[in-house]
Amino acid sequence: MGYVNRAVLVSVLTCVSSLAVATENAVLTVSGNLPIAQEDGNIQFSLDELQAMGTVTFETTTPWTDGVQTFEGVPLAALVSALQLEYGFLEATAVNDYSVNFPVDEAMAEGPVVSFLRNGKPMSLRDKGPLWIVYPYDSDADYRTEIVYSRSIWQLDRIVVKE
Amino acid sequence: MTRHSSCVIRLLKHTIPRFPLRALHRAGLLAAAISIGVIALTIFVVSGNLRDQINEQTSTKSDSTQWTLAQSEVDLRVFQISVSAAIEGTGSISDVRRRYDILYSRISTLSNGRQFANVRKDPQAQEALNTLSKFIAAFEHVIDGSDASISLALPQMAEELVRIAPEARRFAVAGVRTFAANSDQHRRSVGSLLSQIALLTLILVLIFFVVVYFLLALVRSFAVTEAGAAESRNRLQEVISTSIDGILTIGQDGRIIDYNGAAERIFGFTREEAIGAVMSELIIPDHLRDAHENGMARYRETREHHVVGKGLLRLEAMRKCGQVFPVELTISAARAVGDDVFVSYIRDISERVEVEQELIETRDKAVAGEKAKADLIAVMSHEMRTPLNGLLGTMELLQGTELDAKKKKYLSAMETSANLLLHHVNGVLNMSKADAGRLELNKEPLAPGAFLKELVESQHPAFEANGNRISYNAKHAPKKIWVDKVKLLQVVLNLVANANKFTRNGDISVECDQLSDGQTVEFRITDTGIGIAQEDQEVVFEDFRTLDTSYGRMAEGSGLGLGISRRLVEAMGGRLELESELEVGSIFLFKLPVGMPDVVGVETIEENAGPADVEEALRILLVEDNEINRLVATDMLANAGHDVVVAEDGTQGVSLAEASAFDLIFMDISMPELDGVEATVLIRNGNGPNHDVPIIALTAHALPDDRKRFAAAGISETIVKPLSVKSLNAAIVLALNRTGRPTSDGPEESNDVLGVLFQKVGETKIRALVGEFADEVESMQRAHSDETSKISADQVHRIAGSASVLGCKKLHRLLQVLENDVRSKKSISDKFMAELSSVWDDESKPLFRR
Repeated sequence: MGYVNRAVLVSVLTCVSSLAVATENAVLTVSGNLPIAQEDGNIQFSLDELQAMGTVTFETTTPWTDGVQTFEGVPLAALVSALQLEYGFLEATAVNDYSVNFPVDEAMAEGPVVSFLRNGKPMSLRDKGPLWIVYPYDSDADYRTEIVYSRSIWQLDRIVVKE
Repeated sequence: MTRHSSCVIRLLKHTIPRFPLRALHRAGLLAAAISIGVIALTIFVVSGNLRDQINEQTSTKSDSTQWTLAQSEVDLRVFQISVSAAIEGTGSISDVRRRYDILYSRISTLSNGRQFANVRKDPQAQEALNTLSKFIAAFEHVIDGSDASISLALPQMAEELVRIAPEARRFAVAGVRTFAANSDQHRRSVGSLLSQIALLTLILVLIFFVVVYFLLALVRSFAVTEAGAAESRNRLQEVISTSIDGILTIGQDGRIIDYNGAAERIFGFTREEAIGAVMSELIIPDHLRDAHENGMARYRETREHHVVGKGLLRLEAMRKCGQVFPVELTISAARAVGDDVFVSYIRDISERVEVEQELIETRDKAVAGEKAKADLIAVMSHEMRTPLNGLLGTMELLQGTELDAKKKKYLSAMETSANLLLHHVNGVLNMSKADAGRLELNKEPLAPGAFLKELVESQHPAFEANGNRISYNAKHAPKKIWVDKVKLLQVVLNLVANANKFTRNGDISVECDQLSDGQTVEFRITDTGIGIAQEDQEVVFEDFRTLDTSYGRMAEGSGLGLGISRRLVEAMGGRLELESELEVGSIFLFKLPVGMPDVVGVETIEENAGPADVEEALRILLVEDNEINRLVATDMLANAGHDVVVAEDGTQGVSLAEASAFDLIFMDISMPELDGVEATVLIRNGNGPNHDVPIIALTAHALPDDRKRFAAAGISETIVKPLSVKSLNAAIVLALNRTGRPTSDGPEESNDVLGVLFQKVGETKIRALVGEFADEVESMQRAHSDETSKISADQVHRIAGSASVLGCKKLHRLLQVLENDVRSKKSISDKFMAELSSVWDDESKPLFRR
């Protein structure tokens, strides 16, 4: 697993460093206490880069929408692995300034998916995009708890890694 | 101890009766389990509902929801600020766009989100939401347009925002109100569900209590049952381990499952050696093993067993050392732990068998000894009587000659001695006869008064010699009784003589009384003699028993007197009893049945058989092999005036009988070669002049069987020796008064018999019968002529039967004699067989002619 992650990270970092101009297309900015040292302290991910980490697709209803929705995105665990995080927590913040914390070990668990496609379409800001951390709420009662609902942050655009 | 009986215990467990209580408990427990299950399920469902309720509450009343609700107003205000800033020139258009998008997203969530469905049902909230949605919709195309058009629309937007700002608050307030109401309802419903759960839990607890109560009761009852079972198990274990019998449990494969301590002792194998071993190899001897294995194999195939449950069997078993010994065993089948097993109780009976064997041997020896003694006595008596008879007869003849006084005195002394000797010999013979159960009773009428009178008078001289007085009393006696006079006389004389023997200068009385029942008469012989001690009163009746008395041994005491008297009394149907006191005297008494006249005529001619005389002179053939007897009889008959022809043995007798006619034939029975019976048959069956003259048998002993044989042979009368003039005369009278021969038959009758047979049975069968008959006769003749084989009595009996059926009467008679001879192991004379052959030739002719 570790080797895989390392490989993924290397490719990601190669991408990041070589595509410095691609910041215009960035949808997610990761900053803070990162084990992978960056000059300006930030790592920015475009949709393509996120997609490259491997996507999952699932169906579920949510309290905030009407009817069954199809979501596609990167498991948060994959993102955390790519960042080679082993401890601390993620402070995820939305465009509307909503903010929520993920401890790293819980972020590594199955469930949270950083979705970028809803019903097959990219999500606009009006449509809770561009990134929305969604859980498969219908699949397990454990995903229908207060804490999970509170962590279902939409209009996500930045993550700060803290100790 | 437990090891030894574990299997039997298992057996026992299986046979302990199940308590009905247990079934009841089982049903109760089942019901309880079902109730608990139903209630638990209900609680699960109810708590599931509760969980759903709480979940719903979580999703609808989560902090994030509340946050969204509140945030909608914030988002509106932030948008309002960004618009104002843009108008004043401090903010950017892009910021306006971004804030619009955030507000858009928020209003869209309020409009579509499931969590706000209830809030939207509120009319005020709906109105507020409509207003907000209209605002968003109204400016959507402006925001999607260019920056310039946005700038132009900014003042209008600001104006509209002032108007709709309270709507966001109104929606939020309505939302809070709705959520509060929902919370109340939710709380109530949760409370109700909790109440239900509480109630169900209470019921569950109650049921648990009931179940626990029942379980406790069950445990108690089981404990009682178990205690009883344990007690009986302990008892059984005790029984098994202390059992004298070996107890083996055998599985169906023939292997030993269980083996107790007694079995260890009996067979010598330890329990460890025995368990698991094949029983047949261990303890069954070689010669029985195959039979056992076959039996087991048959049982396994057919489930039939020949020995199981068949009670006590007696077989042989083998010890460890290889010794084979007898055992008694029972085998029963039982089921243990689902398998058929055999439980066998085995008892070592080798000691018992040994003891039994010893007992049998001892008994056989004793019986043989008794028989030898009896035979010896009988033979001795017979052998002694024959010469005695000779002596007495000769002395009787001597009396009739001219003798001087001195010689007469000597002769008298001789006669007295000889008579005494004969008396003793007869005593012994009578005793042995009585022991052999052959004592005959010749009942005849007797007047007790006259009988006692005669007896007492005849004894006077002997009594006077001892200074005794003798008297009799028959006043209360019946006029007549039917008894064997000779035996009664013998008994009374013996008792009187005894009384005289042990009394000096005393009184002796003989009494006879009829008892009140009218059926019994009592004789009493009372003396005033020395008496008999209490401890001796039993032994005086024993044989050869003489008490040592102060008078000393009496010369004539053989010690048999009382023993013989006792036997005679018993033979006559009474019992000899004794009452006595030392120095006072003795009473001997016995009771006899009065009796009835005996319908059967008296055939034996005894000395006392009534006086008779033969007037005419007869021509008599005397067949007698004993010289003295021949001499005596010849002289007696000659003295009576008869003409006597003498034959010295049977053969001579037969030829004499064939040669000339006689009026009467005296035939001695026991002769070598051709005996009296055979000779009689020859004479009777012959065609000589004497075939139907009276033939009188002379014999020393005449048992009932003998008499039948004599009669069958054609003997008219029997005289029991010793011979006397009186008995000879009486026999002659009787024989002549009869028709001569007991049965009359002729050869001509046989044809008729055969004719009837042919008609009734049919020719074929008769021919077969005749053929068989002829074969049998031939084989019998061969058996006689052959040295190595012997004629069997059964064969003769069979042929005699055939002869009778086929009407061969002469042959039948001969065969009867032959059968008797063969049975008594007498040698068969050639002459007899020759006669038989000639009779056979004679009588078989008509059979074959048919």
